[in-house]
Amino acid sequence: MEKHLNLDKIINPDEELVHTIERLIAVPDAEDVRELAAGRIQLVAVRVPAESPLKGKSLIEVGRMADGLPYIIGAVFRNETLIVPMGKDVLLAGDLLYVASDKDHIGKVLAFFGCRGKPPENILIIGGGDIGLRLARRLESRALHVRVLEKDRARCERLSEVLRRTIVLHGDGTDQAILMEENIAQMDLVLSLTGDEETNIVCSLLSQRLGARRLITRISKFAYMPIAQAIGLGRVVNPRLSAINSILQYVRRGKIVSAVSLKGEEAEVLEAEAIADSPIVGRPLKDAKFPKGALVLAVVRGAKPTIATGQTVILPGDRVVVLCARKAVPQVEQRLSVQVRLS
Amino acid sequence: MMPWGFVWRAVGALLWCVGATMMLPLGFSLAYGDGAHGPIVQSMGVAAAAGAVFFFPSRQGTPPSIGHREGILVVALGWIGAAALGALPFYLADTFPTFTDAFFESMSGFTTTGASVLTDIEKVPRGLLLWRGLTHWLGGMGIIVLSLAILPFLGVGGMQLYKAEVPSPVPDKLRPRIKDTASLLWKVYILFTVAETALLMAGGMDLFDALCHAFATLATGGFSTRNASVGHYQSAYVDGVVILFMLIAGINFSLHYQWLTGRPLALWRDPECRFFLYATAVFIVLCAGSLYGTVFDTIPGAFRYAAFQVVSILTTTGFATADYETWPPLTQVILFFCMFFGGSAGSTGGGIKCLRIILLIKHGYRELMRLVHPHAVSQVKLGGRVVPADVLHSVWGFFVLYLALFVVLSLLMAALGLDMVTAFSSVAATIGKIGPGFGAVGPAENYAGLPLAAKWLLSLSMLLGRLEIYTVIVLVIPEFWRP
Repeated sequence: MEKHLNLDKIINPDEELVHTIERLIAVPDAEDVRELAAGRIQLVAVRVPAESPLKGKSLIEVGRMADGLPYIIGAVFRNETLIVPMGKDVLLAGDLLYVASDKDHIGKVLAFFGCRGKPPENILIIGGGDIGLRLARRLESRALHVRVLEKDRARCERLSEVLRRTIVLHGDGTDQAILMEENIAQMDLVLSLTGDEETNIVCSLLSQRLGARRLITRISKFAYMPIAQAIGLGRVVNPRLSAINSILQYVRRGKIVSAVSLKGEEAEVLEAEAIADSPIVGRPLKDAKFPKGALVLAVVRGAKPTIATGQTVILPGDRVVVLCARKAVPQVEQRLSVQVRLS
Repeated sequence: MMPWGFVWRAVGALLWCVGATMMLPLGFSLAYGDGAHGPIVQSMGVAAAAGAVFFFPSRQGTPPSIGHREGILVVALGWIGAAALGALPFYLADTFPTFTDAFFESMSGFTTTGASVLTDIEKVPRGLLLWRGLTHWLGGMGIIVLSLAILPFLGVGGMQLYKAEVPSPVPDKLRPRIKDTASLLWKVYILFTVAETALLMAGGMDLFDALCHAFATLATGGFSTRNASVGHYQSAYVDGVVILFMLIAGINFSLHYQWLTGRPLALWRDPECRFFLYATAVFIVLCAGSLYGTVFDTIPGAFRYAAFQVVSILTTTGFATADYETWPPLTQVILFFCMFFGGSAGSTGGGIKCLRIILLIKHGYRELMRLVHPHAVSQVKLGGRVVPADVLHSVWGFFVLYLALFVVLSLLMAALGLDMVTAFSSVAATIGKIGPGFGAVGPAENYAGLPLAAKWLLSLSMLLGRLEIYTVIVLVIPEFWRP
């Protein structure tokens, strides 16, 4: 279709949301999973648990404990406020860390930060709408045990025709009896994906109370996202955000290759090609005088990603991955000497 | 008001056709000079006369459309008429002592069962043996059209699933459909018959034996020209060729049509065909396993005989290369269950048939799922498509009727004084179209020793099984005859 209509890219918000969810499922304890530099680098949001050994440690101390693992903490969200961390900043329980590492090491890095969960096998999807159906199809093709709970009888019939291995259940996700009947305490993951966000919040809270181990909740209104956080629904997906992230990669052109926004619009991750006359090229990063609120996460030279440290030197032609707070974006763009235009 | 005129004319025309096919055995009879040409010619005369009696008095034009009831009547009366006419050459040539035996043999032929009341086959004139084989082959032709063009249209026993799958330019009209489907599928049938005849002749059989065995194989009948059946030839090559063509005959002929016309994966894509081949493989392995070390000392030997017997019974052919009654009890029980299995729907095989067994298993599994997940909404699917509830109902109905008839007929056979094994297996082997059973009707014996009444009951059993039960049973329901 893209070819016939002479379009470069078609973005389907539902499809983007399903991709987001799939990435989240692959990293069970993460609240957000992003792929950078064409998938070579992953940026994962993890929360510091209450009894974490990292609690109360500064980043320098944490780095020593990590024993040479290549990672970088790009952003810390504390009470919904963004901190672009420096070496002396201290981690607190409940902080949400955005940690970047390359694909080969991300597993170990996540384990170090307390994410040790196995990918889920038994999954309950509440809401068999378009997104529920798409997701169930993807998951059943990966041989996972998937159940879909849908309250419209006719829709159930339709789902059971189209899905092959998924068990389709007729019932209301806010009905405690049916959740218990389906043994929700044994579920590795419950996704509330109905079209109604209030229902999703109730379903997730109910599932949590009944013992479901992990939750993913679909919320469309940005206004609800901080509330969801406050009542303990950490893993929230938003169809508009997913679509925006997908679109952003196409909106910013010039030398900026792709851009990803974190936490609504609080921060962005830019990928740009370093050009020879940029002030950041040719010297160690610690001397490069980056604006406050921006941090180089990684440098990709050729196909090889390197997680940035103070000693990293950027050469012309490298692809630089930079995390920056919203207000620092223009400065960073200028520092990269990049002509920004919308196309 | 039943359009009897149309029904009688159709039956009359059918009798003429059957009579005309007697030209072939007549030719062989004259060529061999076996003296059977007299009875054959007389039978052809009777066919012409009987056909005329049915055809000419009923000159009312054919009704604008043929309904379910006319279709069912023509099929049932046609099969009975053909069997009665087919019995004549045997009866007139004094091959059998009574008309009952001749009728049984002919019914067994036209229903492609292969149950025989002939004790010494090799003494019968060759012209009559060829006629005996030809009754199989004609019955097979009839059954291909019945199961792929008529039954799907009538919605009998789940066959409506095939309504859209059979090659025909006009999918929903009965009469053009029968004609087109017949001409397409009969070509396939004839092609395979010629191929098997040639392959058997390449293995050393003469034309007569090869043709008779090809007739009996493609129709999944089982009449051999030898007392020891295919076992007579003691040839692994002949066994192999016959196994291959029994398997072919046990597969839906519309699938054969598909792969022969440029869709080579048609067989593998069809869930029923896959199931049939898997089931065959599993039964062969089970049988070979139970035979190795007990009856056969070598693995190839165990597999050769197990494969032949399993395929012969699963496809409901009924050839034998060994007396399986001397085999271990486990093997015998496996073979007995194979009798209920049958080939694919749309093949010439009988039995319950793979399609229905798949649907029964899937439906059963779905009911189990419901116990675990009381709120589950699930559908029975075949090849990724949902099977409508009415198909499932008619499959269940068929299954229940099949077992009920098995029970009732077995009881009646026992009431006639037969022992338990013979009573059970004779009914299973006739309603399932296999032929030889166990006990007094085992592969080394035949049905000649049964009481007269038993032969008539088993003739009925063959007819019921061949016409998918519903088609016959419905005739005795008063509602059928009400306008």
